[in-house]
Amino acid sequence: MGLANAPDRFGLVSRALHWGMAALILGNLGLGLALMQVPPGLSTLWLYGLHKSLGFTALVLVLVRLVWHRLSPPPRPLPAPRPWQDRLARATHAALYALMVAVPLAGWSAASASGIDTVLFGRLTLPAIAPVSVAWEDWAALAHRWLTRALMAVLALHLAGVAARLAAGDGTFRRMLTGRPAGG
Amino acid sequence: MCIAATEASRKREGSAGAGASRGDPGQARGDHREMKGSARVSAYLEGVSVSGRLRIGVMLHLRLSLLAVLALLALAAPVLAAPVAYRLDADRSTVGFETDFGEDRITGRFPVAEADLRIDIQRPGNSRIRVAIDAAGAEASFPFAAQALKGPRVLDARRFPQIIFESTRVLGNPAAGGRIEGLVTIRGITRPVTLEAQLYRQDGTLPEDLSRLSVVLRGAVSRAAFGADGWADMVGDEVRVVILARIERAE
Repeated sequence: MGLANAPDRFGLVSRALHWGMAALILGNLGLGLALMQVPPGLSTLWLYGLHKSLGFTALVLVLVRLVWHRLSPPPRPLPAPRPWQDRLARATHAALYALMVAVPLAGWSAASASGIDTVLFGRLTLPAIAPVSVAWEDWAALAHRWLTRALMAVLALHLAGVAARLAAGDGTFRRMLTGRPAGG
Repeated sequence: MCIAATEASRKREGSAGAGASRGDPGQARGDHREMKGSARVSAYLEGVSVSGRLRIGVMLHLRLSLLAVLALLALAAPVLAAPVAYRLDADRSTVGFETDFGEDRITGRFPVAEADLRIDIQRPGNSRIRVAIDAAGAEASFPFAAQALKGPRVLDARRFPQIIFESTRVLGNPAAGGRIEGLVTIRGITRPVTLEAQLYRQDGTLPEDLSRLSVVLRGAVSRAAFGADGWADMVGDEVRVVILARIERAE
C-alpha cells in the first residue's frame, strides 16, 4: 500500500493525516466545550494545558497536510450528482482548511495576550505571538470562540456531504477509509 | 520598655500568628488554616521590675493567633519619646498572600521593595509606616498563577510595578496586638485598609533590646475594589495578606 497519493486513490499518509486530525479536532472540540463547564481548581488545571497542546498539534498537522498535498496531490473529488454540490464541497473543504489554521492561531494569540505561557504537554513553552494586552486577549478569545463555532458548522456540512456520498454509494468514503479506488 | 515575645516563642506556642508558614515566619505564605484560625489566644504583658520590683501581668485575647506575647513594661528602660526610624531587612522580610481557586488555594509572596518605618514603641499612635511592595517580583504556588497575577487583568505589574501601603493611624499597642489603619494603592487605585499588627523582638535578642524587631501585619483586600478582578470566574475576590517585616533601628 503506497504512502503517496495517486490520481484515483488516497495514500496512507493522507489518510492517516485525515483520520488522525479528525480524531484530534473532534476530541479537542469536546474538551474545549467541557472546559467551559469544568469547575476551576488545581486538579483541572492540566486540562487547559491539554487543550492548548492538542490545538497546537492540530495546527502543525494541518500545515504538514498542506505541504504534503503540494508534494503528493490528492485525487480529484468524484463528480456529485448536481454541480452546486460540487461547488459546496469545494467551498466546505476550503473553509475547513482555513478554520483548521485560524482556530488554533486565535487561541494561541489569546493565550499569548494574557501573559500566561502556552506550555505544550508540560514541557515546551511556545513563544508569544501577540502583545500582552487585555484588548488583544478579548478580541482573540472572541475570535477563537466564533471561529470554533464556524468550524463546527463547517464540520457538520462536511459530515452531511459524507452522508450524501454514502447514500449515493459512489465510493468516496471507502477510498478515504481504505485507500481503494472508488470503483475498485 | 521591652518586648518579651520573640519569633521563637511564637513558634513554640504552636502557631504562626503571623500567618507565616510553620517554623519560620520568614517563609510567610499565608497558610489558610492559620489565618482563619479563631482560637482564643492568651497573650500577656508581663512587667519587669523598675529597680527590680514592678511587675504587671495583663491578659489579652487575640482572635486569630495562637501565640502568646510576653511584653515587659519597665519604666527604667530607655524611654523612646519620639518615633524612631527603623530600616527594613528586605532579604528577611516578605509579603505572603493567598486567595481561593475553586476549592483550592493559590498562595504566594511578594518581595518588599522599600519601607519607611518610624516607630514609637512608647506611643504607638505616633508611628508611621510606608511600605512599597514589588508587584513585578510576585511568586505564586504555580507558574501560571504568578503570570496571571502580574498580568494586565490583575496587578498589571508592567504599568504598576509597586503596591504601596501607607499608614494613617495606629490603634492599640502592636506589642500586644494592635491595628494599623492605612491606605493601600494597587493599580493606581487607593483604598483604605486595616491591618492587624503584632510586634516581636527577634530571636537571640534581649527583652530590652529594641534595635531589631519583627512586625507582622495581617489583613485582606478585595481585588475588585482595585480593578484587579481578572479571572473572577476562577479566582476568588478576597486576597488575604500576611506581611512579615524584620526591621533594624537605623543608627
